[in-house]
Amino acid sequence: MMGTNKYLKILALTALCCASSCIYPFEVDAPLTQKRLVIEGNILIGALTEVNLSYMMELNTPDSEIKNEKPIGKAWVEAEDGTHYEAIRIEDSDGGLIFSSTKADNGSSTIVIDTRTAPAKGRYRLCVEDLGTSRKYVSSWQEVNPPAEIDDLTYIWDENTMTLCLSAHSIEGCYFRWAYVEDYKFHADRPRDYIFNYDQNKEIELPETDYSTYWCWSTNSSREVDLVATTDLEDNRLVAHKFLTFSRSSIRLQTRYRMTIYLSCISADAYRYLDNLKITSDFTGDLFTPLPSDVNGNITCVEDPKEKVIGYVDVCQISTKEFYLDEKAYQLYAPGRRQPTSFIPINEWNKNGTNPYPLDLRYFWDKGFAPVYEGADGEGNSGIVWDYKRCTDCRMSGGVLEKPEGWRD
Amino acid sequence: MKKLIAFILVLLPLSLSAQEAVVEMKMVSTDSLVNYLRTLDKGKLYFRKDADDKTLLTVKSPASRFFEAAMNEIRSKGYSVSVYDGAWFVLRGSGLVCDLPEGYFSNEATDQDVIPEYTDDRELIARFQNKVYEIGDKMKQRTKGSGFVKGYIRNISNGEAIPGVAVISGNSYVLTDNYGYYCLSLPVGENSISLSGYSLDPMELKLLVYGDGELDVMMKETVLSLQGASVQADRQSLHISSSMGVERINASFMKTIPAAFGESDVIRAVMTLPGVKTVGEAATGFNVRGGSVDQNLILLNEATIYNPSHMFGIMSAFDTDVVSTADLYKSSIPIELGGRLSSVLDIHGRSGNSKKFSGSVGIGLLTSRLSLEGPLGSENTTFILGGRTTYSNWMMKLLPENSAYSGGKASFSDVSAGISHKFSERNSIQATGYWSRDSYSFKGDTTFRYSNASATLAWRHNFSEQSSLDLTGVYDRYQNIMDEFGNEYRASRFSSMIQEGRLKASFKTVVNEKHSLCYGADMLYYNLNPGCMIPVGDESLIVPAQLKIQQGIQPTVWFADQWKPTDKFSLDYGIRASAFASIEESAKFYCYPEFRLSAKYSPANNFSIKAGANTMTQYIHLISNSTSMSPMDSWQLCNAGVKPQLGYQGAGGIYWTIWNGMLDLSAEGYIKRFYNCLDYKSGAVLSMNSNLEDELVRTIGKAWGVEFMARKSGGKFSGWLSYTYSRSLLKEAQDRGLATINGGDWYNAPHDKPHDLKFFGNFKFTHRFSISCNVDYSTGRPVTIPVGKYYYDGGYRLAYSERNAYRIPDYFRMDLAVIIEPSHNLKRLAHFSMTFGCYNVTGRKNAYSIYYTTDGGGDIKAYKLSVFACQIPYINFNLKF
Repeated sequence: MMGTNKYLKILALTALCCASSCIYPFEVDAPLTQKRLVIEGNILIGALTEVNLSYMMELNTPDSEIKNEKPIGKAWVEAEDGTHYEAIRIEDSDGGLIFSSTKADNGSSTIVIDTRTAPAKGRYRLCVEDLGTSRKYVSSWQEVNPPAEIDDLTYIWDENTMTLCLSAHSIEGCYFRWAYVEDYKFHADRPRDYIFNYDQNKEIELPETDYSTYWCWSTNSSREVDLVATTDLEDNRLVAHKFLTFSRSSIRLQTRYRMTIYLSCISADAYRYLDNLKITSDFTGDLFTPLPSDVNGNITCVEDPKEKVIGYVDVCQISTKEFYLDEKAYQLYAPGRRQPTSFIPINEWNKNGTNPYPLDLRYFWDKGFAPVYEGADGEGNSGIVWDYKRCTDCRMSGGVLEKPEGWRD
Repeated sequence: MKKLIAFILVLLPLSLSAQEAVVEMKMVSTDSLVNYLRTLDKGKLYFRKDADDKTLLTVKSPASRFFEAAMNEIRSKGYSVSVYDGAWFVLRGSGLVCDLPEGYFSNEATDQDVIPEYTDDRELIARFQNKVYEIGDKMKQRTKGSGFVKGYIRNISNGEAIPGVAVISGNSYVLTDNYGYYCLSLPVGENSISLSGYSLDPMELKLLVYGDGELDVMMKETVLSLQGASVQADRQSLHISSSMGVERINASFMKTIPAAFGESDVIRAVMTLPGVKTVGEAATGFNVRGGSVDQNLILLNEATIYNPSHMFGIMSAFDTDVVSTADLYKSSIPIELGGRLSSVLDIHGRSGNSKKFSGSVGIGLLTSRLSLEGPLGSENTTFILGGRTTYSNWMMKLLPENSAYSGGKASFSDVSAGISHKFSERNSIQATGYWSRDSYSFKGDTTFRYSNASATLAWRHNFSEQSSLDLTGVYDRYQNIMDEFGNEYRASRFSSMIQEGRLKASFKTVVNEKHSLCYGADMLYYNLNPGCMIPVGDESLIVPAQLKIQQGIQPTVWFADQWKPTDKFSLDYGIRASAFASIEESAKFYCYPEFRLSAKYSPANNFSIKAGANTMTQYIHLISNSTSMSPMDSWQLCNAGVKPQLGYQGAGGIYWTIWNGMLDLSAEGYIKRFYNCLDYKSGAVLSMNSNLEDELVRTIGKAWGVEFMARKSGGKFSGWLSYTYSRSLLKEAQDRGLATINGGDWYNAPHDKPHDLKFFGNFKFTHRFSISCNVDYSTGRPVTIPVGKYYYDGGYRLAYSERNAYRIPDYFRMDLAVIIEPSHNLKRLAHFSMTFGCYNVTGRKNAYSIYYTTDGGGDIKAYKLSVFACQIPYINFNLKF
């Protein structure tokens, strides 16, 4: 009977595993036939409005080429009563005045418009002029969306993950959109007692334990489009809405974590636009997913109304709040066991018998290791112990030594 | 070849003086028993052996009375035993008349009509071919004109009616209907009719027609002659009927087609036919001649089935153990059927074995099934009950933790039931029911369920030999439910449902040998709940919402005539007038006539040219913007904002049968136009949208194609090879400026696959052992893919091409199956059969879709999704008792 059960299980498992759908990497050659202007940014009432201009590019454009094609333009905000809100002028490196600054990494030009004094009533629209093509673009007139308030940032966890949850509400708005910036402090595995002099090819003992590369901070901005509609709820309230999940072994939970949330209410059309953007950018292609397609924004070209422009400009009031996770969150940090990687160079050099060449410490430095402390390695041998450079230099794990603005320890 | 089982047991008593020997013969043929009786020296014994006689007799009696007992047994089996001049005559029908009746030479009239007693040996049930059957009253025989021959054709082994049997006499032709009933007009005098059907032994019957009369026919399932060719009369009907684009699939054929996990499948069988496509592996529904999925009407015993699949399309909702036939009408749709633009798949269930209680059990990798059938009290009342269930939940628990489906659940069950009762030759009723349920959950926080249910009550009344009525009442319902409980504050249940009630009266009248009329009316009532959302749990903040219930009535009347003015030319024409009225505050009324026309010209018996045209109307739309029909999709009735879909089709074909009827060659072309088909705005929100019409766009469609087919039947090898070239395009009907789909240009329909090559073959090595092979190749379906990227809102986003401007890689699949039939040992109480094979033998990773993801705004990666990405071996066991 046991043998029959086992046989049946094997048969059944074979059948199901065969039936499990499979996903494979794929390459498609789909040339870009039309380059489109991308205008990103909402008009923020009571704050500075940032408008990013960029061009659409080929799918396989390497990062090195992205920043080469930045549109240069002018932008301003018009109110229905005729008021103009101009861009802030900044100096360039030659002392001249320009309207835009550039963000090198993503190939966009950023224009900052001062709408801090714009009243929260009436209708507004964004106007952009592409100085390269001399074309003017305008968004549709949009009403000011009502404000939203951030109530709380909480978290839940399970055996492996932690999930951050947002609570917020609005009296009148029912489409919420938020972005966040997360900052977290972390440290390397240990401070260092030694440094390596490459020219002299020797370890140098430091007068005291060095913490200069021990503490770091890292900053990430949200990349996903975070949206929620409350049209089907009793009131316009988000209660513990999950939006970010990460592993409990993430370095975020090692020392101290801060999240700054930027929340606003948007219009129904803006919600639909961004929701479609989100779906089509993470299209899973399974049996029942809606088919992807482009959704038109609300920006038109004055000279050529048929020109397709990417972007949706809404008029919002933004709320900002900063949260630090409480002490209990850091107790959930579960880094996991790391394979021991420390060694004493001479032992490693002669690991397979006597090495005919004299010990060359540069060999290990070039491999990514550095001296750390004097002590014993895992096998009980004494000497100056080396380990991966990231064990003593938090910058090698993506951190920076400077505190983020407003950071409170 | 008959197998005779003879068993003679003579018991010797312990005390020779006290007891007489008992002779027993069990399950012996008439021939064997007569041969034994001849040894008893009771006189000469004459018996005419009929090659088709399968009668088995059992006699047990003391030796001294064995002869009498044997004769009684012979009489009980329908033979007559006569004695003349010391000799015995065992004959079929009335016995040997050896004396003239009393009063024969008297001049006085007698009240007794003795002549029929002596001369009336008419048999109303034809079982044998080597006799002449008399039709009508000989005393009132007509000297000219014609008579109607009507009756039922049944399976001799279980008494079930056999639909789709071709009854042909010269150029007169008729197919038995779903009750196995036929009515054929024949000239008076001597006639010959041939009968044939799939997996049935063809019969040739000699008739002597005096006038109108009845003749039931018992046919038996074929034991194929593997040596010689057998002319298939049902293929002859190809040149007699003017219908085009009609395919009939029998249950026994469905079981020979290799399918995923070895589950014999109605829809998989339909997919092997030319002109039938699907958007991908395991997609629910199918596409016929360029039409979308919702343009196919799927009927099970007259009830509409809205979701014809289980397990996300892996298998169909129909249990082949209780299915009799499935007719797919691609072009010439019968006048009494309609309501969809592209096709009708008409599936009929079996009525059950009227001879004895029997059943079958099947065990496969994913499912098990059980069916029971038999008479209830008498042969006039039969029942059939079939059920299936799956044990996939148990199997999913065995999956490794890193599998995509680990922790998931998926299950289904279905039950089919039917009762038939024959009151008389003129009246019979049939009640059928169907219920199915699917449930699955993969992410742990969302559960999907859907169910089909239907009930049908049908009454058949024969007014006369020429005229009959089918009165049918139907109820069917499709419901789907989705529960989401990942976030307790947004825990909700979404549900939608569609219900139908229908009353249909269909009359058929055979006027004469040139005209057969079909006319009738039906009334269909829709009640559609497009969506309801309720909160689940005390914490949920979801506000209950209910979309407006849609109701509508759809009355239809029709009239059609099959006209055969000459032997070579026939014409089917008809008109079907349908209307739709939505029952709501702002009621909207639509009415459209539909014309059906098909003509045939046969310059020779084996060569035909056909042409036809028809128009169709559809008052209900499927609301779905996914690649495949989703269980959560809902339907939409026509109203002021949503117009009915209209379709026009013209078709023509050439048909040629060669090689002594063994090979059919055909070429059929069609052209179609659709209007008011629905497509969706980019980013459309379809679920729980009270302003759904704002998301819909009207399109016009065009489709054309040509289907080439070579089909071989009879002999060891049977099957077909078909190639179809077809296109299907759509265009938005209105100008919405920049938002117009593809700028108002024609674009590929989602199911447009220009090249389609199919091969199906079954080779019988022996009567019990055969191999089937199925090959399917088609062009990849159209997709919309990203052509560019841009930075937006913190990450990279994708810009897409024109709709359906690209294609996924071509599709190719080969399946093999080995079928081992049950033993032909009739003595066995149960028969065991086995099927094993491999789906997707080549292991090709056919793409279901290609898609891109930015991984939350980061690196852009492209993937191909394959549903069945490797070979899938299977084995199935079946037991019949």
